[in-house]
Amino acid sequence: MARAENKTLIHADDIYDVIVVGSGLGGLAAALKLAREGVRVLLLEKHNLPGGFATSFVRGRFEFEVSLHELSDIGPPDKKGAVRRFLEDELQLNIDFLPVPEAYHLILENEGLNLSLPFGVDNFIETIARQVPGCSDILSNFMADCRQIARALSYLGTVKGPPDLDLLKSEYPEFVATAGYTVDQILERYNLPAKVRQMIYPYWCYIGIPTSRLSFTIFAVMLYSYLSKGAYIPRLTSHGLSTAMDKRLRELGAKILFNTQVDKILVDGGRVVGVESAQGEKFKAPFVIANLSPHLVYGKLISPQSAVPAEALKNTSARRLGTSAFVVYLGLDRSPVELGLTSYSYFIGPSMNTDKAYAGFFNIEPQDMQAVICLNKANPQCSPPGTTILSSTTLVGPGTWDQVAPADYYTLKSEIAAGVIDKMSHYLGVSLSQHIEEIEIATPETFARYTGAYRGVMYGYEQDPWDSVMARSIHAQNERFIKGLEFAGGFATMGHGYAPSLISGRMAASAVLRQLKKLHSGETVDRDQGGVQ
Amino acid sequence: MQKRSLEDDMAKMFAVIGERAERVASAEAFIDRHDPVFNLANNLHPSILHLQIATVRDESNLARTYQLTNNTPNAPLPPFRAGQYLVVRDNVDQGVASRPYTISSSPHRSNTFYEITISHKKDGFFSKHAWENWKEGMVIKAEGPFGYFYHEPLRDKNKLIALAGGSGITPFYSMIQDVIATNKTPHITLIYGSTSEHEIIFVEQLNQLAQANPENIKIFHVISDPSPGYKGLTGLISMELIKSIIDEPTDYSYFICGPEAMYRYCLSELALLNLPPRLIRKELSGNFKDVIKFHDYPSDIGGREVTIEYTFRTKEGKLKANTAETILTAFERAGLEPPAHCRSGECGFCRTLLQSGEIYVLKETDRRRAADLEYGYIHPCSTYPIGDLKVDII
Repeated sequence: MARAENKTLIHADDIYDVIVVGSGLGGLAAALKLAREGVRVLLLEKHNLPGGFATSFVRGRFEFEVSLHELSDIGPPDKKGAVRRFLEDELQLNIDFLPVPEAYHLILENEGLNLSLPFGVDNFIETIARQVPGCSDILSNFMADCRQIARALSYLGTVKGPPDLDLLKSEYPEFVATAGYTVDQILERYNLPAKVRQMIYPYWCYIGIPTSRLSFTIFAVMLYSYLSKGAYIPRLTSHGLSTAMDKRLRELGAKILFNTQVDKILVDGGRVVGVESAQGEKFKAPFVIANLSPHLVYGKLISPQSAVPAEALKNTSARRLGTSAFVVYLGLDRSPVELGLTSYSYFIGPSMNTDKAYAGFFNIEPQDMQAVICLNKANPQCSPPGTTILSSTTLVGPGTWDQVAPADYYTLKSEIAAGVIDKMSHYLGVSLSQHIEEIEIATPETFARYTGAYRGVMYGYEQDPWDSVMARSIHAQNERFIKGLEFAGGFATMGHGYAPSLISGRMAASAVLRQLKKLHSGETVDRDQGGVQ
Repeated sequence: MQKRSLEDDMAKMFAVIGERAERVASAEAFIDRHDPVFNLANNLHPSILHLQIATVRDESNLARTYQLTNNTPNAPLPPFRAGQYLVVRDNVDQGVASRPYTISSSPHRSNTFYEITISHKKDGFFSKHAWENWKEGMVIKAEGPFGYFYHEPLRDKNKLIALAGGSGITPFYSMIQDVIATNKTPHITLIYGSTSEHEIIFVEQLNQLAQANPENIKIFHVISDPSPGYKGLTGLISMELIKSIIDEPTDYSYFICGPEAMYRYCLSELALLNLPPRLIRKELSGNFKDVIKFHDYPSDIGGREVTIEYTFRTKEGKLKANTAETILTAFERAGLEPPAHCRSGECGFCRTLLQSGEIYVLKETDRRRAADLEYGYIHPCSTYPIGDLKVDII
């Protein structure tokens, strides 16, 4: 359906089937899936680069990953995970992924823990059992339950309409037994020593709410997925991933406009009809996929505002915004070996008290609990010989940076970074300050500036059990408030993170494709035609 | 695991699903549009600034300072770090052009004004335009402040050797004022090379500041082409000269800003001190003159005309370019106004997709991301066409 002439040129009178707003991974995935189906797609992005949070930046002789720690659900080439299958088989992309060497290196000073935990369920259990003898049977049961829950979720992903409850009870009883509870509530049921819990909790940082509130289902699936399939990073950084998608979109004849902020999503008669850019350009389409938060879409972009149903406002305001982040990026003039860095992914702090750590997200001071990445340990070629790329991420709760005045901003972020580097040096036991060749510091302001995310939020909405992926999926059909509007990205059904964002784009594209088919066959398109994949 | 009733747990699952509906039902039908983080971002980095030329004053017969105030009444200007630059845009001849100019005034005055200091160059394009056309009361468009040429206490030593050449004094003039105003480090030793003792930009201000703050600020003027009888330091900023001024070389960070020839000379002299790269920081290089004379520039090309076929949003067309000039210059001469900030290859703001054709990029200014190299993206501000090209300005 693409025009035969110059493929990349935008014509004022072009007709599009779908406009994708935002070229984060969700938007890119949605646009690419649609373009592959011959759908006429226009992708609009306010920044001058694709990727959203999935990008990189260069300082001196270093190229830093902005936000990626590791991708889940990639799996090795001979045992592809869902995300690798989607990228390679469905989107026909050829991304060079490098395996992450270990699950995580945990340093908890007050617990006397300093160890690297490997991928592979059995290896993981064995390593923990060496620290705490006698726990391997319980852990094996626990992991088997996590596996069953992961399978239950896959089953739920395939059913059309309501799931078969009897089948759930008979085939996936552990899913039914745990789906209504938090991580802490379920871990109570297993008599695991406190030290073992400390060792299995670290991935909570990737969701960003304490285990006293985090949906166990989400945690179990995440833990099992990482341990069984490992984690990967793109060799050419996240920018390589987003650029590969961008380039393929252009080849397929999709239109992409960067430096184009969408100010309005136009709605007429309860249905989207197009968008308007900040430059005042209008683009028409019967479908819009928003790689944006419902907070921005319903709160600001829908035009006229009266087209936003009260239900949509209530649904959005009921949800809790996730965290943003404070990241310190260091280019160091010593190799990891010289510095004494042995692992790729470190979780460091005094102890694994997730409530305490979460409370700290709302304190602007440097945080104890940090996720540290030494990029060279998964990608030795990422920086010149004799150098290291190291980053520290701490999470920042919404509201924490609201009172910062512009005049204080640069001094403040430098002071916090100084504290972060001190703590990181202390827990890792390495000397960093004398080897900093490049440093960059990102705050919620930085993320708001480059991605346009509401309040600089990186982690979408918090995943309490009532707003977990599962609860969202079950309610999804009733939560389509404007016809022709779908969401993708970290604020969508699947939640935040690289893999969920990619999959969310796939889901949004599928929902639109189903409706497009109806539209072309002359049937009425209704809001109950979407649904969970 | 303790055995529990599956029915109870299933009831709990449904209760949690039901909880969502209850929470939504009891929520306010209101979304807070106020976004303080976005406002902070917008105050620090507005997409465009409209600046009024408040005053114009000559610093020397070759340098002129323009004081710029916010044309929006009562709106503060974004704060910046001493050493950062503004991108200034204007229509020049039939085309459009933008240039980065370091802010020469102090950050602590940024709530009321910025100053940029523009040198008059014989073959200057934008500078000549500014000198001839910019008058008090005019409003110009600007973006920024941007740039990474600032003292970062977490990275740099608290003692700074500032190596300046000619109009390369501007970031250091800002830094010196900042250090004095805030009473903070770094201690700055400025070694400032000028052609003639009569052409030293900010000479009186600098000497006064140094005299009033002997603890923080030391200044050495070095004159390359002095009048007969000149008694100060003469010649170039050599390794010997630097060593005669300082004690232990690794106690300092070295910041360099000046013309291309000065960079090359100073960097080769600093190399003799065997300093780790982290101690040396260079300001933006800007565009190179005589790129065709560079050792790795293809010898058979020379300066000749080529054609660039382009798409840019809703426009498409062909334009003339020269192999000795950057692709960005060719765009602007043709009246296109693609995004561009640093004009030195560093910021990536002008990132463009090269569909086909041969290009030349100077290795030392190639700051492209690894994937951009792989997928054929270029930074037109530091890329030269060496044949006909097809590009998508994105």
